[in-house]
Amino acid sequence: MMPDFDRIRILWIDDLPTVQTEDLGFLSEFFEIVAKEGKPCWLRSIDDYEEIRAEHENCNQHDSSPYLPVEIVSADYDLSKFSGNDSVGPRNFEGAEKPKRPPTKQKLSGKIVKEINPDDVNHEDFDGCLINLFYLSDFSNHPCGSVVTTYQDPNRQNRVAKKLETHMERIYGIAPLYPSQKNWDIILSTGTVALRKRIKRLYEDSKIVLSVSDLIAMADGVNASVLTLKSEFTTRKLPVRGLFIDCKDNEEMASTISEWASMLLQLKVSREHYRFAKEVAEKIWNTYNDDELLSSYQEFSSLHTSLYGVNGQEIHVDEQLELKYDRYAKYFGLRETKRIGKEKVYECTSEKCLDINSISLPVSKKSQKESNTIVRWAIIFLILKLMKRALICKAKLEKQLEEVISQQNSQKIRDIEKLLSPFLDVDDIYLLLFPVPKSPFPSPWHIANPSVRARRKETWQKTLGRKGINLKDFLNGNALTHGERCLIQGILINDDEFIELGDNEESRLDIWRSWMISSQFVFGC
Amino acid sequence: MLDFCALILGFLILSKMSENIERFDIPPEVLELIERRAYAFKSKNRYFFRDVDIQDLVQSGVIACLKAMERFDPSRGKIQTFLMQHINRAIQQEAWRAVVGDGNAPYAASVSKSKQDLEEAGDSDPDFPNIERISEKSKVSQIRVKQILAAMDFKRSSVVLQDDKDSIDRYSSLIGVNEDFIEQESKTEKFKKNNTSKYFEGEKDETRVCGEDYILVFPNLLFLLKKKNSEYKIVISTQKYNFLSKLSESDFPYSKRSALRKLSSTKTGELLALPESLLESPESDTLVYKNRKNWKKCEGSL
Repeated sequence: MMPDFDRIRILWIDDLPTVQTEDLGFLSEFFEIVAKEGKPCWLRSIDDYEEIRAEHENCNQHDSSPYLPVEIVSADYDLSKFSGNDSVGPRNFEGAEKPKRPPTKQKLSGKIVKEINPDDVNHEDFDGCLINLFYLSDFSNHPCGSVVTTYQDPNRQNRVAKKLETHMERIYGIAPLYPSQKNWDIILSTGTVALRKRIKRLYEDSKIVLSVSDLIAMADGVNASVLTLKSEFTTRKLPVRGLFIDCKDNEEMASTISEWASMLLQLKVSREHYRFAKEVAEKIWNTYNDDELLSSYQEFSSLHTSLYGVNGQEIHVDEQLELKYDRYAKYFGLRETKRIGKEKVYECTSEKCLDINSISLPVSKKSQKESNTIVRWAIIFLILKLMKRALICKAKLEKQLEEVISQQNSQKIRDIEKLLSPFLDVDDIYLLLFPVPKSPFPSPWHIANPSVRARRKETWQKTLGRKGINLKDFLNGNALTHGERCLIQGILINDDEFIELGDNEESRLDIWRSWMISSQFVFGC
Repeated sequence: MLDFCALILGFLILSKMSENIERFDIPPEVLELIERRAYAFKSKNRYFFRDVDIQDLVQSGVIACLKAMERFDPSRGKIQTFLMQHINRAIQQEAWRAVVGDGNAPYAASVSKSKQDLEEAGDSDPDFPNIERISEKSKVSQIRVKQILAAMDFKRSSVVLQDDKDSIDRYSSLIGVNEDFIEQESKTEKFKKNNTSKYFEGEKDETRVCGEDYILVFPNLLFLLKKKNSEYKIVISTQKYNFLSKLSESDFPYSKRSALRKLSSTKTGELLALPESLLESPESDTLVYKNRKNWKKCEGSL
């Protein structure tokens, strides 16, 4: 049975595997060495890397490359000169010829031979490091932990490899780690620590997207088996147990996982705020979807305009209409709050009336910043829900049209697809955020005079403006920060509602790109 | 005319001389002229530019006037011609911006003019515009022409039927009158006339999906409808007109919400369902669709 995760890939740079490294053993459940035809291939030279890199470039964008990018680079710096004309993998251990090592007395960790001249740059101990650097220059925005499997040489401060490492750290912020022994258990334990550090760094900079639902499950310690990760190159579902292979026992692993995931979530938005915002959005969304409540309010508001006009002056008296109006007034708890000149100002006091302005937030009224954050995220969630609905309509209609006009030429189909763009504007968002508003009453939608209608909507606009929210900017894709968009993509990547529309995480996210408004909102372009 | 030139020249000299003055008011006569141009422009296309705020037009005219005066070179011609060109262009662009968006606004007037010219010459049908010819004549790309025409069509189509037809004419003669002056009575009467039966009988909207539902969500389909010779035409103009009256209702956001809900919960195979009665209606003389069985899945009327 195939595992429901992608095993963590290792790029293995070594001239010749030793007994300790020729087999992953039990680790192969979560890790795999980049391989051809099921057999591991290890890179013996820069030429080997170039060969793999070229194959990656030739891969179709939609096919996943069999090699790159990887999550761990295990690099032996000291590569002996291989004299052969074979190409990269598959390589059998049995057939591997022992390379002729240069006359040196270097040995593995700890046993450093003092005779090495630290300034002898001609001694090429940096080929592996160079491959690592080449890899990083190609895939620095995909998380990768670098592990050095050569000896640790305290005298190497002046040597080329050390310079390259400093360069790597300066440019890409990656400091390779040195495992204490050269066997996969230790190498991968060290590698996953480096990988987690890199994931944190890239997530902090919003260079990668992590599935929010996976992170929450990890933080809560609930059955978290995978962490879905999307970089600019690919989408991977990493095994959580593999990612924390360095933990000694299950208890330590659970606490480390929870701690790490909570820390990552905190980088974007506080978990409490996230939860509160979801609750608020859910309440308003339910009200927005309550057909009966909305149509009652709609009738009530339009009846008010019909009977009393915008300003409350009586225009027409009709007993039956008034009776109906009174029933609604009682139902929605309508009351006059004040008078501005001749104009009466009304408010609905019933608890059934709900909007983003009047909803009670689970934070202290004094903490303005907190409540603003909650309202902001609640609005984001609500807009996403509405866009999702529009996208589902779009996908369905497209599918239907494709079936019906499949014999038309492709240009016509493309024409239609261009035209199938749902229309969503600020008014739709206002109705979404203020489905059954307490004030102003009557609702702006029932006022025919455009300037009076605009004034009514302006009260909502000002309320949101005080919280730093401009709906037009939201829809134009100008209001969200890079970090917020990263979190939004993380929310959408595992969206179950799009399962029937997209086969995998990437295609589900691509649906959001298919419509200009949603693309601007989610991706900013 | 001479008075106007003298006034503008005086204003120009004053503005050049008064660099140290922080605030400078445009003379009321110039302002009135700009307002007249704005009202005249809006009044000429009162339905098309109905959502355009007259004050926005005036403001853009004023800004254009100030900018133009900075650049005016007396040796190159009359100031009146120079200023009016800039003011007219700014007002026109501001008005188009509300119809076709920021990006397309600079090209919209040219596209509209080319379309009109071609229609007059008989080279293009008003309902089925010849995109290629319009693009050629206006020197605007075909994609942009399509976008502009679709936006124009949508705007022109969603006419607010309840509006007083005389109101904008009245504005053009009464410069500076507040728009609140619009009478409410005729609208409320019309509203009551249209809605009273609904209140008394307590009828609710049908939950079935019909044509107007998906055009509410996908207004660009209106453009698709105009493809005369293609086989996927959806609704003829009489039905379109009925749909447009729906668009003009003040409850438009509610209708759209309801349409979105219905469409998203409908099975894919039934989405394109249109009323069967439409096929049999004597008015629907040109309804063409390749797979007619898809139209017969929903009842009701547009």
